[in-house]
Amino acid sequence: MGALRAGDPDAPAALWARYSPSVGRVLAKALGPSLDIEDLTQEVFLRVFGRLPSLRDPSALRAFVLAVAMNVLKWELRRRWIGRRVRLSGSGTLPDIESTSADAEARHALRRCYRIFDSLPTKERMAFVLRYMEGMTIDDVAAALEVSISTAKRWVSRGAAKVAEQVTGDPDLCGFFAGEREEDARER
Amino acid sequence: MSAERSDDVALDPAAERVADFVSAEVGSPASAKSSEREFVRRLGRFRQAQRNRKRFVLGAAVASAVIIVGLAGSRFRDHAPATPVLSYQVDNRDPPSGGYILASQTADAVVAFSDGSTVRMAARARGRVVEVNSRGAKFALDDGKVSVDVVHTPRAQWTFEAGPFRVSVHGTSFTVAWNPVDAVFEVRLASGSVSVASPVAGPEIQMRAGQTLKVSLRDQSSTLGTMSSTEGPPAGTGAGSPSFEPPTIAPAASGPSESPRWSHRNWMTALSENKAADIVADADRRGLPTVLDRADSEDLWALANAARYAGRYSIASRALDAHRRRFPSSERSREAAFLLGRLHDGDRDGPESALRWYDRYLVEAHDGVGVSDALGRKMTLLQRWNRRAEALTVARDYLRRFPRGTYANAARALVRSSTADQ
Repeated sequence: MGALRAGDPDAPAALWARYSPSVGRVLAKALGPSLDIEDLTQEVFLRVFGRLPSLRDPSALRAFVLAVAMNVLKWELRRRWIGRRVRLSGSGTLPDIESTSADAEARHALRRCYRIFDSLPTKERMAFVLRYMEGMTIDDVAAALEVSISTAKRWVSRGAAKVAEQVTGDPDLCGFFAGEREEDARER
Repeated sequence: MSAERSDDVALDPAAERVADFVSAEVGSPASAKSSEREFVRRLGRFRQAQRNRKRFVLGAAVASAVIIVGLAGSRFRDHAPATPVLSYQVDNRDPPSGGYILASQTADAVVAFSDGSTVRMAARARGRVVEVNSRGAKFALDDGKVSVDVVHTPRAQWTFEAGPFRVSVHGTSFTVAWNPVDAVFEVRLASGSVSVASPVAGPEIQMRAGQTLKVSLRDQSSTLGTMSSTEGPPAGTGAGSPSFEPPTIAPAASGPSESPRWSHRNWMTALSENKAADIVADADRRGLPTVLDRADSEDLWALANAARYAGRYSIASRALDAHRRRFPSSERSREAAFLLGRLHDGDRDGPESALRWYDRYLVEAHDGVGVSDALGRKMTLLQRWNRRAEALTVARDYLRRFPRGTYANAARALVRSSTADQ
């Protein structure tokens, strides 16, 4: 942090190396893998540098980066939400979710999962990603989303309940996850 | 996924299952050195733009303060009422919203200002009244010809922009034409005086009554001549429209075989200010083939990235191709191969194009910083198209070279699943 403020020329690269993997990971989980992730990650860090002078507590740098990332994510989710309504694809979702899996069934399941995520309100989707996918505590989720702990709890619970409800109501996904459970049990 | 979750809200097992599955499938995106370098480059441009903005804001604040103090002093001294902002009409009707004016295919359009000044737009001309104030207006000519008749007042301030040219006027009659396709700009001055800022001629050109100026960006030539005696004043001043027959154009001093110089657009700075769509629009306006043939390496690279960010993948692909063709030995051209691979990564008709580009990048970059990224993407692409044997070969190569790389987990999973199958 001191190096950043002192204008050390190596500081930006160091900050990027330290935090860009986690920022990229959160963005990828929230949005699904796409060409945009790298660009969005860079956008996050440009904003971080733009707002760095407003950071008073150097120890809060990680939380600060995450909060900026959440802000970028929020706008990207809203942009995509508008995009889906302006030019819907045949399936009703944007065709940019790509799994790296070789398994066609898994690819199909992933697309359906993101269709469920697309139906969540932005704030609940973000809260769900941070809590369930990133394994953050509620305190950290609240800090990242810049809301109270009770609000963060509410968003996480609502998001998770909606995901669970839609998965349970989707025979394909239900079957897929049941199969996965059996496979896991066999492996154990 | 469970170590940090002991605090408060009970987790829903179904939602947790979904989260774990999605996390495993999505994994971590690439965060290669090339991304880091690109980020550091963008940050440098961003900071420069910030510094420029600060200087501009400071300058504008000082200038505003001076103007306000000056105006206040003048008002106190003269007790004169403030001069009203000019208004205008187009063909005797209220101006269109945004000031954009498209003359019809067959007839002129006349923009009449409240101080008596007029701008006659020839048929098919396109332009816009950008700004109107108490001393004049700013008019941007996108395409075609306009004849201008500005009423002379001591403090009149009129500006006409056409492509990269700017004509500053006090009180005068002249005609200005701009052809963005051929990049030819022409002014014919019937009376008064104007100064023309041109990206070709260096300092501003002062023009007197009866003079003509023609500039061709393509030929990098500019000619200041005199109107022939047969030519009358511009249309709108009572006589016929000037012929706009090409006057004597001085050939470029360097000879016709030399490629014309590109007027640097500084698109990199615009890109760092998130003006990707503006850059693409600017390139469209100038004509994409012209830009692809003439833009310098920096502008071409900025256009390629702007088009990527704006989702104009076809333009991005053409710009990257052009960069590789025109600047084959540059580092950017090597990176272009990788980016072309990424652009073709999602092709619906097969992975061949993307694989070709990734392979080319791997050959050209040798041990470069993006090799890990290119290998990883090649592996996932092959997996996606169910070419498991090839994907496995790449995965093994990846693990040998980058055992702790971004795609190492995915590569190991592939190798593991292949061993299990056997």
